Amino acid sequence: MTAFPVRIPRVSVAVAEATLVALLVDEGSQVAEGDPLFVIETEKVESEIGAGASGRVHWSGTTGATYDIGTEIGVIHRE
Amino acid sequence: MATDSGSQRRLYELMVLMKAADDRLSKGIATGELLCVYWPSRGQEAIAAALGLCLRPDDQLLTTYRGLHDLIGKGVPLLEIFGEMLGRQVGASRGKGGTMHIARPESGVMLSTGIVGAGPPVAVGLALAAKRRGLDRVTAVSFGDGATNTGSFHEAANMAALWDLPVVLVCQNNQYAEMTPTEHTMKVERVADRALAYGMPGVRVDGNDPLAVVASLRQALERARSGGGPTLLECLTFRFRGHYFGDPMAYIPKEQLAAAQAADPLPRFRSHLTGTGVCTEGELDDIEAAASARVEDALAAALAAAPPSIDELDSDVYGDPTHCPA
Ligand SMILES: Cc1ncc(C[n+]2csc(CCOP(=O)(O)OP(=O)(O)O)c2C)c(N)n1
Ligand SMILES: [Mg+2]
Repeated sequence: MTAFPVRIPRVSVAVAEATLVALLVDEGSQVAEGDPLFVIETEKVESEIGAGASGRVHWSGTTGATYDIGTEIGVIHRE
Repeated sequence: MATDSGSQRRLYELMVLMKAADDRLSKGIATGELLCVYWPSRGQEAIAAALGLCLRPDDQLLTTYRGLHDLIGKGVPLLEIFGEMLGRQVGASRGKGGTMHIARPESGVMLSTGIVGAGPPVAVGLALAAKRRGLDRVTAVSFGDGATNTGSFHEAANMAALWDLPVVLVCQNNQYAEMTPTEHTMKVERVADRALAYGMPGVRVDGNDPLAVVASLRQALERARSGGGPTLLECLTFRFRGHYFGDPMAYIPKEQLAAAQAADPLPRFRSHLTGTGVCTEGELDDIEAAASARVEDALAAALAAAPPSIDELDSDVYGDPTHCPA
């Protein structure tokens, strides 16, 4: 089993941070690569972020918080 | 001169590798796996593959921030490209230049630049050097439609023509400069027509058809190599992912994007190859699988590599960093 870190992506060239607006899957649930995983907001634009791997999701980030690009907000445990 | 089947296959291999690299980077950036910046070349592969096929190893190429496809075509190893984008020591510029600053003179790639219009004057200098040394190498420089509105482009075109320099000016006209369509910045409809002002041939080709680009590029290279001087080659194309990765592309009319995607150079060339019997479906599937595997391997190696050490901060900046003013 390997762990795939879920990070705040760089969705635009000139942004340093993003707000975690929503988690789209529940703690501990199973996702497939590409499934909608969470929503972030940068410069008043919301972006839906897909899962980078398939597996079971565990969250460490909190909705409403603002994070630097690259901050780990969870992990996907691959089977 | 028709392009033989081996060369057609080679063109497809290059285009597929360029697309596989773009797709993998895009997926990685979108999910937060990769934290680099990227100006996507998806859609413009036919032009870069033609350059890769037609340029000799000792010919030179200069490109821009939107250069992933050009770099792959000219043979820069994927590990050095990904390594540079991710700030690793294995990068072409030892991880200190980033996406916009990839050069690899061993492959003939002399410059990638983020300064719009900066490539052509440097290409003129390189071509002047080659001419004075009696070398028969050609310098090709790739740039966008927007770059042809800069003074540096016009100055370079003028000098290249005046001195009959071995240069090919390759404009990858993707119809936008950042968020601005070409018709808002140029009175002329065809970039190629700008060549008339400098006394050089200006040729416009379908930049989504690798065979059309190859045919025109070969003529331009032959002319440059034999002392005939420069050519402005305008290749009409489109960028499918916008200006930078993550660009919401709200400024592109939906119908225009749909029409451009319908003219995607990859599926089109694939059907040409199978339809004319140059390759079978199975052979093309193998080419695609091999490209994806190469991309995965190179990316894994780049991710595993170390960032440059702090001891390297001053190296490759000045010949003598101690006595040169910082
Ligand atoms: C001298 C200069 N002016 C402005 C910019 C900002 N800028 C970056 S990319 C770009 C658009 C260039 O468009 P084009 O030459 O068509 O190339 P493309 O991005 O379409 O490949 C601009 C204006 C810059 N980097 N350099
Ligand atoms: Mg452009």
